[in-house]
Amino acid sequence: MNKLKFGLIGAGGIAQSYAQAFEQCQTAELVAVVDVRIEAAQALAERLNCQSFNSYQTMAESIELDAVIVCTPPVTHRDIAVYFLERRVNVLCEKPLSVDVKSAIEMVETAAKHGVILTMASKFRYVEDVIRAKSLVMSGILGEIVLFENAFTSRVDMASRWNSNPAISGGGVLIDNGTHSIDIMRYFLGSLAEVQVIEGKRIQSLAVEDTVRIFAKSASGVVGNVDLSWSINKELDSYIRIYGSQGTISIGWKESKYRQSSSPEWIKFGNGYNKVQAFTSQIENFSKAILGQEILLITPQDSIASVEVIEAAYKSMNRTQWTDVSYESLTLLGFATSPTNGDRAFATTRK
Amino acid sequence: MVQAPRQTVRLELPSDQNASGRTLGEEEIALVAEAIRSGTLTSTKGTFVKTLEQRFAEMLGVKYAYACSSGSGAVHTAIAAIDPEPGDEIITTSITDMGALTPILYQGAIPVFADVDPKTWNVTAETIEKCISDRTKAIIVTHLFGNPCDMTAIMELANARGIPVIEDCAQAFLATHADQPVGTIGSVGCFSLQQGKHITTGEGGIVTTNDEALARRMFLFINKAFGYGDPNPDHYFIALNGRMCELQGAVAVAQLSKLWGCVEHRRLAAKKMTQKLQGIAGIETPYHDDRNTHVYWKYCLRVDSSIVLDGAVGLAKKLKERGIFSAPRYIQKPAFQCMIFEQQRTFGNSRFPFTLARPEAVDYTPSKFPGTFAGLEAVLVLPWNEAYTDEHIDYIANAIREALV
Repeated sequence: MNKLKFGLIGAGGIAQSYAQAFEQCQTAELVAVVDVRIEAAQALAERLNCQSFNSYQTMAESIELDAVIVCTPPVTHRDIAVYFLERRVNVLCEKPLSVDVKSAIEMVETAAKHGVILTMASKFRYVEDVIRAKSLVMSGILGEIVLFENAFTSRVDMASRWNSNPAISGGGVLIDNGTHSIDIMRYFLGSLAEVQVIEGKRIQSLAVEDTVRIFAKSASGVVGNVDLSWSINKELDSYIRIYGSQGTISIGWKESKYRQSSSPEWIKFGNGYNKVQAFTSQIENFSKAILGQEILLITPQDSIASVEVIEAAYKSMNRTQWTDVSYESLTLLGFATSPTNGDRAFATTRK
Repeated sequence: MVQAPRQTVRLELPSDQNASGRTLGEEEIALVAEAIRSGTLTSTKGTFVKTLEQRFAEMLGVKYAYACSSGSGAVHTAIAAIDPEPGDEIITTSITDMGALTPILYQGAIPVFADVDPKTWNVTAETIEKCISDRTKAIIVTHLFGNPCDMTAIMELANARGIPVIEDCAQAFLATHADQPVGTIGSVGCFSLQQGKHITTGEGGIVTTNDEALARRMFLFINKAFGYGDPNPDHYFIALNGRMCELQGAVAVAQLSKLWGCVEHRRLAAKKMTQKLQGIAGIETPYHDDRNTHVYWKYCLRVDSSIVLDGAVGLAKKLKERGIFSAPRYIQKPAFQCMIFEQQRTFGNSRFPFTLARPEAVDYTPSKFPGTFAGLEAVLVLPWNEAYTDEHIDYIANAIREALV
């Protein structure tokens, strides 16, 4: 089978994970890497035996592409995505899809207009333990879901990283790690109706928030809380905990397990976080969607809904009060909204 | 022994025949709505059935999975892929649904019934071996109630004789034998998505294989044997349209995401039930083979009629008084005692393909099937469901205890 030809735009940290994933891919191959730092592009291209460019326009003019993966800072996502979508090249855009709803709408509209696929990349949705946990939740084994907890905290010096430059990143830890959290929370709880964000003490003297706590309420009344920080390390075994009326699920870095309230024992169901597996599954799902063989796991609706929630979260942080998530963009774009918001449950579990 | 307090309040059990015991919900609604909005309801053009096939194959770790219109259709597809000559024999089990037998006759072959192990209600290498003849074209094994057959021994026998094995996994989604998922051990796996199975699309089926040639024939058989995508496509052999439509595919994709949790829930509930039923004279809890993952489509007791008054039927009556509708004797009689076999009613008055059968192949003398009759006599099939809570398990267990202690 001829593999789909992908270009990778941006050769920073996350591109290294994509490089590993492409080595495993059955349906896609990387044919070009772009970075304004040509030496970074060359180093990655050498490893993957593909071409390198210092501008995405030059790459687009030089080679035939089926798709690109956008791994550049968020403020650039809109322009790069639109550029390729208008050339009928499919776009997988790293999270966040964009820094605001307005530009996200433009991106989704452009994709629809030109009949190509645009969606957001968010690796945790492809982690096998996360997928199994969703299956457990839906089976009713925990009873009614009451509370969702998530934490992505790690002490990292962000002073010299683009992620802490709001002009490039669109915000701090809330938009950076928070987009993952919102996407996962939506996956488990469905549509999020309200958010409230409390900012913690700024430790790193950055221009953006480095610690926040998100509170969220789903449309069905489930409460979620998320801790995000670049300045503390909570040293938890799990990054997601889901509490139901009849039990608890713990999704961890090294193992995942669940326990029913009536039983003293935890039952292990997964082996933890496997980054290469997650990235590989993400590329494969996107590629098969291009080929018309699979529906997307993360849809354009999911992508734009995440941007909506993050935008509401920033409003809330500045006001310190509960803020409704409007989802006006979904209505504007003609997407049907439902309690699942086009959720894409994805089952690939091996016993 | 402490006697359970007598239950006076009747508890309504979740049922797989309606929403109370099914995982159907918003996810299915969302995807079906999407299928309808797309305007493409045929799987030849849509993506939902293709998604199901991709994900099902990936889940089991097989090269090929094809969706079709029913579980019977899945078995029919598997047999058609093996392509028996008229009068060829296909060994199967005496305890199975007719939907797994009539496809054999439709393909002009003779079902030859193997006896079962009364402990598991499954065929064994020993019972299959007694049925093998020089006309044996295939073996169908049914992983009854979600408990895998001893595939190690069966595959050893089948491989030694060069006979392909079709696995009927209608009741055995995600069951494993020796760490291998059923449906991936033999030549072909057949799954059912009928209303009462682990996951459902109302009606529907899936076939799986690692064999490229069989995969090709199965794809064709589901598609009127038309070579879609071939340079000069034509209708290559006799076949119907057995496709699944996109509406079912959309439901199936959503259901598939719930399968693992559903199985985990059923297994955990069964473990609790087995613990609660320990020490009750006159019943045996489901046989456990350490090499197997039993996925409990149903939870089956073996009832000793020398201890329990009126055996499985007597116990079922007492459970019914508490609103627990169990099935003593499961299918009531062996498949070969159904009218279709007793009177050989097939096509017009032709009796085809029975007219081509060896007398031994259609000899249904009861003494040849001791395991079958003993197994059916003793079995009590309890309703089982992924929606059971501890309260439901306690209710059933206490009802059994009260009836017997």
